[in-house]
Amino acid sequence: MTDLLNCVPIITIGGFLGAGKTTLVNRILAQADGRRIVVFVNDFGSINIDYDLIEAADTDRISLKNGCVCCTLNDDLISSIVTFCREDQPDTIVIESSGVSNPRSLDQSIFALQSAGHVRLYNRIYVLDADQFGSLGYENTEILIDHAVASDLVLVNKSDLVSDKKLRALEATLDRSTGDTAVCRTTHCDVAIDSIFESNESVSFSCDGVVLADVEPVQSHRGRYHSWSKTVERPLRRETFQEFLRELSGIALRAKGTIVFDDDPTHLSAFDLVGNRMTNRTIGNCSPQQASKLVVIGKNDSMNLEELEYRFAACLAEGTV
Amino acid sequence: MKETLFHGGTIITVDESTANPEVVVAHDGTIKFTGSRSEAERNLSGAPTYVDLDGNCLLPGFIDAHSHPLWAAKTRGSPVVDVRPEIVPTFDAVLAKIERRVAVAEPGEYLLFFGLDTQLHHGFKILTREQLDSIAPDNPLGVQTSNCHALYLNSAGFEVCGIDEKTPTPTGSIIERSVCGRPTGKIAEAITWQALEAFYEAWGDDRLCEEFEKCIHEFIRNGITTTTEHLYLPFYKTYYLSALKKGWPLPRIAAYQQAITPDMKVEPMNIQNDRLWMAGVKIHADGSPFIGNIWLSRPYLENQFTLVNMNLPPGHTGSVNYPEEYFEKMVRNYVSQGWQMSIHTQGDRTIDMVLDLLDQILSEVPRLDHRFRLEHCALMRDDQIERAIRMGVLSSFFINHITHWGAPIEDVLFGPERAAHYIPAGTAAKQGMRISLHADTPMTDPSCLELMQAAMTRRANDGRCLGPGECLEVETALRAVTIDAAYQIGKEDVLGSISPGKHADFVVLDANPLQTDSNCIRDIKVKQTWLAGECVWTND
Repeated sequence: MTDLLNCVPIITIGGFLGAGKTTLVNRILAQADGRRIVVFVNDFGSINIDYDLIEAADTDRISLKNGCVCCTLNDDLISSIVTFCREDQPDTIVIESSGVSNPRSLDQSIFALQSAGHVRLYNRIYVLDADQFGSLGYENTEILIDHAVASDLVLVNKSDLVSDKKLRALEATLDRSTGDTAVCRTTHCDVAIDSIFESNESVSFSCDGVVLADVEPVQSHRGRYHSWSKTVERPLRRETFQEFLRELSGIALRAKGTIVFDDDPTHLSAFDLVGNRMTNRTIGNCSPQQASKLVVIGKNDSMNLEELEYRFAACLAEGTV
Repeated sequence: MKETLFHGGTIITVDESTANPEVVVAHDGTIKFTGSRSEAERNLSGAPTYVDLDGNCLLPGFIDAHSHPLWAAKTRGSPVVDVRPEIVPTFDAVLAKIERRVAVAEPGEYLLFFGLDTQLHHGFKILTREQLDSIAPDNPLGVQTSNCHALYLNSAGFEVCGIDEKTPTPTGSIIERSVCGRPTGKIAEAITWQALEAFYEAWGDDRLCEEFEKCIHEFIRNGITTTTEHLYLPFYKTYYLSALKKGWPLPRIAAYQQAITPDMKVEPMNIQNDRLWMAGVKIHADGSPFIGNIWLSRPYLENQFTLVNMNLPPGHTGSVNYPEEYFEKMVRNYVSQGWQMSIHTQGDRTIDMVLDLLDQILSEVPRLDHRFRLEHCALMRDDQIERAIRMGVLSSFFINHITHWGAPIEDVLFGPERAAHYIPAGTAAKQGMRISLHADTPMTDPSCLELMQAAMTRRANDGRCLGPGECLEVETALRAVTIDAAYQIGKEDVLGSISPGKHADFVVLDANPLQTDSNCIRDIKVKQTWLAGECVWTND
């Protein structure tokens, strides 16, 4: 029988759209301290923005896009992990699942890999956006709680954006709802890597010790969410695009992208919209041919794709290359 | 004429006479040929559709011998809130979830929660009507247990279900009451399922149809091409006919009508060539080991769980659901009409009672091929297995009790000795009984691969093995979800194996279960499901 301690440890990182999963991945990579960490980045949309934002060597970051690792991309994930374990075994594997994935489904796949002696499930981290929590409506809030239950460590992230009173109420809800799960407040996922690598040592690595949940009869999330992606090789008009994003904030759960503006075509900007909160930053120089990419995810009953297409087209700068 | 030729993979027929064929040919929904490709191609009537199995494994479609697809849609489908311990880990977390749901409820909205578990919800306490009233004073609210047999109601819930101080307790049911007769919150057995109909009706038919379609899909994506609707009631037929009319990939359904009284009419039927037929009559002889209403020769263990959480008296040996005379009257009536009996039996004394009655009836009116079934059979003894085999009585085992509740079964309910033979599928098979396995959906999710693994390993969720001597060989486990399950529902002539003349129902798996580690059977992926010669699901 395979000694589990010799198998590649897997850390899964879950969390709703925009909670801070990619930030956490980069935190882990920045503190890798010589460990070779392979990162699987899953994006529900057809363009994997997060992949571009992961600060790892290309060979050690694997993009799984246009679907979800818990369902439609599950086979791809498993075969890819098996290949790594057989041919080029890393010290640790990190899976950043899509913002809509069901962590229990992902657990089942990893337990199957564990049964086959390839990996061991090491730590399941759930990143929860403290500012967003409570503003998503009943159903989405319940999904967040249900998913937090299926983790070993919950990071109550963006804790700097909410009042102490709200934080305490949130933690009380988690404490009452999640049983044994550890809860930790963070800002920009500023968690020490030691707490990630060591927090779960007391939990059995065997799937024997974990109650496998029956998984919902869901084949994909396509029926519930829309994902709209766009790649354009023309710069965007800054003001029109900002207006487009303001309109999006009312209807999209999440939008993110890397953009070239016509008033500064040699720099690439990244934007990140979560609920009503948006951040912009310049991430580096770019060539004039650099494409702009964006992904918008929203519930299918509130997001009109034709409307999005029409409004985005208005953002394109005229007569530029 | 539609002809399909399957080739390019391992074909497990579960029929010794057609073992290891190179190809299978289906013609208009029926298996026409199994054997060599050259012989098949010589006899083709036209240009067939070739299906390359691409190294995958073709088996007969799975059969779950005891389930409730429509009832599962009612019981667990939205807007019912899932509070099973896999999702909501503690009793307090259940209360918190109920409180959050109530906080966003419309005035008067009907609220139901499924999955409260006396054994697995840490910190469990008995729910009272007053407690639920304080949480939800303005909404009819019910909390159903994960074993489906009991329901806790608040006052508004009792009101919409029409249960009050004056309501007589129906035969076979339980209404817990105060000394003055006022229902105190918990009801159990048949009245539970009747009461829940008030909630389902309030939510309307559109909701039910939508959830039914999802439930059908869940069976099909797990390769289950035939199952049963135990507890079928005559008004279910409309929903089934509607599903067929809409072209949903409805698995074949063997209906077992629920008997509550001796005088219910049971309609013989077989619709669309074995898509829905009346197979027999289901009667509950006893209840659930998890709420204490099964009849035992040896009492439950005495501890915090049984005495406090389950509120059982010391030395509790339970009881049967119906007075013996009433039960006998029901069984005699339906047997006299020629129906196959499918009798819910968990405790060993219940099984004694049922075998005694069936023995008596068969001695008076011998019936050679009755295939009477005992369902679940949690604490069936070895001598009862021998006796059942002699009588031609069959057991269908609810093996997922081991995986889901194995730890409390051993630790707090019955102890290691009885746990080692709990659900004695291994002994029954070794002694020659044609057994079947079932998931009893909605109690557990439909997956015949999970059933096989559970029966082969008997591993509880915490990793312990309950009674290695009762583990099944893989061939037996496979037969229990194919040909032997077909035998139990009376359709082994047309279902359960890949044999010429049978319905072309298949499942395509990405690994051969006969050559897979028993701990990894449930991880085998279902690639395709074929029903009556049509591919009705693919995971591509």
